[in-house]
Amino acid sequence: MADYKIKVWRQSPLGIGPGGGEGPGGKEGKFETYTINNIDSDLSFLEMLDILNQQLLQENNIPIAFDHDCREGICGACSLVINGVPHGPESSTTTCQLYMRHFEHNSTIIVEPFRAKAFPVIQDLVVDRSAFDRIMQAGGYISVHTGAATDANTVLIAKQSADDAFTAATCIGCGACVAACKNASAMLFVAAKTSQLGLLPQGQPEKTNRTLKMVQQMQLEGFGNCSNHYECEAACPKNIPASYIAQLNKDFLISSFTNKEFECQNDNCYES
Amino acid sequence: MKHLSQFIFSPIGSKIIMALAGTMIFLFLIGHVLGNLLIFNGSDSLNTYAHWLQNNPLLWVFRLTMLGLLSLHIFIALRLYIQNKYARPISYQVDKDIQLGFSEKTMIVSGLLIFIFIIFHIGHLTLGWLPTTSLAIDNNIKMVNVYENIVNGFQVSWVALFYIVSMLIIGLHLHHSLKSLFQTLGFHNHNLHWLVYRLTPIMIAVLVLAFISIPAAVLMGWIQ
Repeated sequence: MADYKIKVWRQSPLGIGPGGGEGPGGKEGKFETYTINNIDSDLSFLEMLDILNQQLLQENNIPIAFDHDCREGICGACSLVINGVPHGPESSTTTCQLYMRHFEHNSTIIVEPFRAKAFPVIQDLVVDRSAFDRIMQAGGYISVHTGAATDANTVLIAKQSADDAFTAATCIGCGACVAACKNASAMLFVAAKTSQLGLLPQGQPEKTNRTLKMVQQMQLEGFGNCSNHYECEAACPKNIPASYIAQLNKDFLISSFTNKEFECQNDNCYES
Repeated sequence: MKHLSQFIFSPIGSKIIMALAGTMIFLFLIGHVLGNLLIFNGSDSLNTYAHWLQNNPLLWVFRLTMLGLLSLHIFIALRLYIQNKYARPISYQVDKDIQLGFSEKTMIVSGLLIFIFIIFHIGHLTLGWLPTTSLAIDNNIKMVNVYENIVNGFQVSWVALFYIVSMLIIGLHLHHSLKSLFQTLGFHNHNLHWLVYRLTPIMIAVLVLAFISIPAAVLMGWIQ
């Protein structure tokens, strides 16, 4: 059993608190520190926050809002920057799979939301990651005819391509790459999503359009540029390597000069 | 043309252009240091080489090309830097680096310091701002005595030290740049790993040491 001080970001941009008043942290947001005692070392970080929220409710306070869903490390819903690292100090781990045994007794844990212009705070630690959805809508798909599924191995795929596409496909779209990047760039996410489809034969017909559209959408959403720091790779809970960014760079270079169909959404392609 | 302008202003395209401009400047540095090393072959070698350069009809074409590449490199770097600052308007309370190196973190600072050095360097040895350098024709050899200018210039210890520190900063800047080059141009696979992580640091070290050897040799009295 261990005790902790949890310094957590509280913010209510919508300004809705109990009785229509200002919510916790106000519109601008601020850190609040809470003390939590007798935490079992085998509890996950989110379970610790559940207990803290229970405590807040019992004290008649508004609980801390945070994102979560499967709590199995596969859905990409959980976020949080814990002590300066997205998904906490353990590598290859989502916040929901992070356990309290990794934190020292009586330590102060600083919990912040993912920070990026493209990820505005909705409430406390919950950020709006729909920018990723819009990037996917811009081209992160393949168009196929409906009907019966084709026989297996009708389209032959090299083992290396299949493996590389699969590694890219393990991206859960959590946004840790954006949170970790000093420039709040979404390049690793976009690279994983374009490579997942672009490395397979089924993704070829729309490859150049997909690459150009997704990169354009990424920029329009207000993400930063890649400085090859590879903080994204280090923070990625699914260990997606930054070499996919090199693949995206190459695909973009080729697509820019071979695609004749791509049209910008506005006069200036990359500024909203 | 439309495709080109779209490419130039795209986040990836502008980086590719910055990387290519940087590469050209890097190749110039290799040529520059090879020319400079003639100083170890005596005053005649260096002065003859310098005379050939100064009277070369393509000198100004080359100078303007380098100025253009440098301006492009700096312009894109600053533009990306500003865009990146806008991308995270609220910074973290605790901003921990997971694997970020010193070279990566200081690119904009080292770049600005190199820019200051370039101005000083041109002022010092090309325009003769300091009293130790003379642009007058040496009557004995019927040309500007570049060898003597360099030796006199580096005998002022703060000037020599400034050059040495600046070369180390260039090495720091190149350390990240050359690794980035392959990534930005899309060449990053296991076969290139040795080139990116083994060969480029050696290349940078050789380049920086070759540049440093000249002010160091003057300071030590090996070149007089």
